[in-house]
Parts: sequence; structure tokens; C-alpha cells
Amino acid sequence: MDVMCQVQNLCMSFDRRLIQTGITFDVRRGEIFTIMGGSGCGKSTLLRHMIGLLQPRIGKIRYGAQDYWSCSPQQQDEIRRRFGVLFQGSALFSAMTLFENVALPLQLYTEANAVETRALVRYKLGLVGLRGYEEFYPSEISGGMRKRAGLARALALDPELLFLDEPSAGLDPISSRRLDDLILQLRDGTGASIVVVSHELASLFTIGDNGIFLDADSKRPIAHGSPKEMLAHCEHPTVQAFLRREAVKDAGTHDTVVQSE
Amino acid sequence: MGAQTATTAADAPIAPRWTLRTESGAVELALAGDWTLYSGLSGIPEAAAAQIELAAGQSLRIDTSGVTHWDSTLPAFLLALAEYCRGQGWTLDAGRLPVGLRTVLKMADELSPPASARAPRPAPLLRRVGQRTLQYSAKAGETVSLFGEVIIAIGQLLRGKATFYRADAWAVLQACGADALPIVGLVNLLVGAIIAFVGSVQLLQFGAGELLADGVAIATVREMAAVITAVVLSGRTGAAFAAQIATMQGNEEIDALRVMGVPAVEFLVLPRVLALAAMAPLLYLYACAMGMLGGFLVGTGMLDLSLASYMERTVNALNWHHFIIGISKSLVFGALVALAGCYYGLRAGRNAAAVGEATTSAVVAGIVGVIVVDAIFAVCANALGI
Repeated sequence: MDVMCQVQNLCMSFDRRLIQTGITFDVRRGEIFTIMGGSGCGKSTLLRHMIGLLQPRIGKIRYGAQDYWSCSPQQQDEIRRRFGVLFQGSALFSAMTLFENVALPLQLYTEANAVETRALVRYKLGLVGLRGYEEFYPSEISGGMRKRAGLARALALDPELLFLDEPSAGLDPISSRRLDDLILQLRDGTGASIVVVSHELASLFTIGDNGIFLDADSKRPIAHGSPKEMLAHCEHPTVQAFLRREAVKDAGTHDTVVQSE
Repeated sequence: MGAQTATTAADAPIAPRWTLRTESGAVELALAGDWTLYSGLSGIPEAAAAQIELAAGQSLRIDTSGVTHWDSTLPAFLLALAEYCRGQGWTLDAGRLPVGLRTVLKMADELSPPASARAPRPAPLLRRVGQRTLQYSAKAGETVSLFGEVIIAIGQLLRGKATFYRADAWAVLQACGADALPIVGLVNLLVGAIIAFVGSVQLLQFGAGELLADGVAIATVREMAAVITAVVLSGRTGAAFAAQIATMQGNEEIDALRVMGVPAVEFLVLPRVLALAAMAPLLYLYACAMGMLGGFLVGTGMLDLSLASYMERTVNALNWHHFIIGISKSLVFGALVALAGCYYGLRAGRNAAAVGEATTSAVVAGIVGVIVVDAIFAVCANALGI
């Protein structure tokens, strides 16, 4: 399988506060890669590095043969156009209808005419189960529907790489399960690679093919592999506690946050 | 989409083609070429559909074995075709499609549109007029009730029972008072200079140049300082109130206050209204000084009036009435601008556009309100003979 995205020895920090260091992993084509870890360990920060919003302190992020941060701004734009991103709060444009939200990338970056755009938007909204809601504004639909509409917008340009930040946060178990099925079906149907940030255990076990576990105490990744493998083979107490929903015996993450600041 | 287009991405696209075949009674639509956004698909969906002739209940088979590359354009086309077929009473046979394509097509077609999906219909004129009227009367009601709530909150404050956050109140007081000094000073200095400049051209025609000081002093103290300061405060502070409260509304902060049992009017509106009502008269006095300074600079610079005579004429022209009118006006203006800002902030919607709308409405209402109140003051002062 070819590698879609390569993270090499990445070190992330805000000013002088270290977030995580020594992160190395590959995301392969057609794989669902999960980024795991407790609250505040830097999962979303890692995602923001991967989508080119934050520059690494040390290390490289490659897409195919290109090193993102040594590309020209034009090349970076081209690379980013191959991404689809679902933000934590959906980030739908509130002044636009769902149709306009999903149509926007198509109008900006493709030659699609009005008929094609209509057909494509209807299809994308259909994929996430929102057919018929084209003329609704984000404020008129529920949180779960907004998440799915955000996913439809992320899918607008047929991305090779789909980044989902906490896709099931704030959803009920049924909606959350349906979103997992949707992610799996999308992967099978489109062949895209999907990077998911999540701490929903059920969802992680259902969809994760591969993954990385970030530890807030040591500020490094402490486990690699699919969530199921981690549960079966990884012996690190934090990973086991996380995946089994147990209390950690010695130091909790909250203590270290206090110490590090 | 990744997998299907991976092999020969660099090749020039092959134009999408389609042919209708009839094989042993079954109608088949054969697709070939590249079905991607970049292969020039324009127009095919309607053209293809129009040529299909089937009896009701028959099915249309799709053959995609000739398709070289595809992205979402292909399932989008098939979905539109499936809906068209359903409308004609036919069925779409997707049995021969590759698995990936069948999966996405099934997902997209699975959930039928909900009954709740609305069809926007323009309402009849009469209904729109009625709705608009009801909206305006409701808005007037809301304004009056907000005003009433503020009065009650002031009562609570006087009895020492109002709940508000002292640090926030001080910050507001500083933001709408001291921080506004530079802009209020500059604008009023220039307005004073403009009045003197325009006035001097007229007065010189009658050889009455020394009356300039009287004109500038009365115009500034009675009208301009209060009105100009209120307009500046509306654009500066009223807009900031509206934007801040509207953002809090969108962020569910107002709901959080309500749940904590803290009335939003006491917590947010009261400190702002009181702060601006307290600061506006002070800013007005400062604005008077700056306006007269502007007039003085023009007067001494252009008309060669002496410092002593300009000062003397200014002092003689003014009396306490002018200042009392100006101060009471700016008190009302300050409260009005703050109320407009808070009112539009509180009734804002919960999205990014709503913040902009709230700010615009607050500034417009603030400025219009100031001018209207100023006119009322002028009529009253005239009737009272002051």
C-alpha cells in the first residue's frame, strides 16, 4: 500500500511549552488512522499540524514525495486541496445554506457548472443522509446533522485524505454508530485515507485500522497500532487504563498539567 | 477518488460517453470514458435521461465496464438518473456496478428526504404586511420592556440588591470613558474649527468678525459637543456593546447566566447603561473645551482676534442654561446609545452573521435615536424659552 502521509520525528510546541515530541507514523492509502490519548495530550494539535495550520517545531510532514513545509505557498495550497477536514465544531458557514456550504469548494476549485454542482451537492448530502435539507441553514438543524453536513462539505472535492476531529463528540450512541458506519463505507466506497482524532472507545474499536497513542505525561507517543492490537498487546498502564476505562493508579493527566506550567 | 484514478493520473482525460442499448428486451445504458469533474461532462445528465424510453415498471440497467476513471461525478449522475427513473415509474438496476460505486450509491440513495424538509414558498403580500406589522409592534414592546427592566434594575441597585460583576463594570467604565478621550477630543476639535471657519466667512461679509467667538461657543455647548460625542460613542461603544453581547449570545453565555439565576439585564445591561450615562456628560464637557479650542485656533489664526477678546466674548456668550441643556442631553444620549447596543446584542441570532447585523442595527438605531432626541430637546427648550 502506498503511503499518503508521513509524519517524521515531529515535535510540537506552543512558544516554550512542549506539547508532544518524537512522533513518527505513516498513513497508508485506504486506511483509517486513529489518533488517541487523554484530554489535553495534543491530539487536535497533531491534526492541526497535519492539515497545515500549524508549523512543526522540529520534524517533517510529507504528502507523497513532497515535504509540506519546504513547498512554496502555491504548492501548499495544491496539497491542501486534496484534504477534506471536518472540524470539531463543524465550522459550517452560518450565513450560508447547507447547499451553499457544500457547493462553495466546488465553485472555488472546479469548473463544474450549475447542473453538475447541483447533482454533486445532492449526492454528497445524500451520502451523509441529509438529502432534502439543501435549503436549511446550519442554525436550523441539530448538532448531529451539522456534523454530517460538515462531513459532506469535507467530501466535496473527493479528498484523498480526510481528517476528522472528534467526529462523534456530542452525538448520541445511535448517531455516533451511524457516523462510524458512514466513515467505513466512505473508505470502502471512495478509497480515501481517513485520519480520525477521537476518544470514543466504541468508535475507535469499530473503525481503527492503525493508530497512535499520545501520552500527556511523557509527552511522547507510547503505542502504535490499531486500537484492538493495543488493547491485546500493549502493556503500558496508561494505554490499558484508557482502552479499558479504568482509573490510572499513580499520576493522572491533571497533575502533570499543573507541574508542566 | 483515490483507488479508481490512481494508475494513470497524468493522462489527458477521455471525454465521457454513453450509449443506450436494447438487449433481449432489457434496456441498458452503457457508460464509457472518464467520468470526472475535469473531463467536460457538462450537459449529459438531462440529454441522457430524455432519450430513455421505457414502459412503467421496467428497469434500466447500467453498465460501467467502459468507464476508465471516475470520481463523485459518476455517482452524482447515477443518483440524479435514479431519481428521474423513479419519477417516471422505472427502476434503476445497479447490479452490475463495481462494489465501491454500488456502496456509495446505496448510501446516498438510502435515506429518503424527510417530510420535514421545507419547500420555501413566497408568502402572499397581505400576509407579509401583517407579519411585518406584528414584528414591528413586538419589537416596540421588547424595547419598552427592556427599558422597564433597566429601571427596575436601577431600583435593585439603589437597594443594593443588583447582581453584577464589579471588575466588569469598571472595565466598561474605562472603555467607554477614558479610552474614548482621544477620538472624542480630535473629532470635536475639528468640528469646532469647521464651525469657526464657515462662520468667519459669513461674519466677515458684515464686518462682524468679533462675533465669531459667540457663535462657536453657543453652537458647541448647546448642540455640537453633545451630538457629535454621542455619534462617536454610538459608533465606538454602542457597536462594541452589541458585538460583545451578540457573541455571548452565540456562545450560550447569556443562557449560562440565566441558568445561574442572574438576570442578563442586571449583569450586562445595567453596568453598561449606567457607565455610558455617567461618562457621556463628562466627555461632553471635555468635548466643549476641545470644540471651543478648535474655534479659537481658527479665530486667532485667520481673523487676528486677540486671545483676550476671544476669551471675553466666549465667557459673555455662555450662561448656565446652555451647559445644563448640554449635560442633560448627553446624559440621555449616553443611556440611549448603551440601551440600543445592549438591546440589539441581546436579541441577536446565534451565528456569525447575526453579530454583524446586531452591530449595524445598534449603530443605526443609536445615531437616529440621538438625532430624534436632540430635536425633541430643541422643541422643548424653545417652548420653555431657554
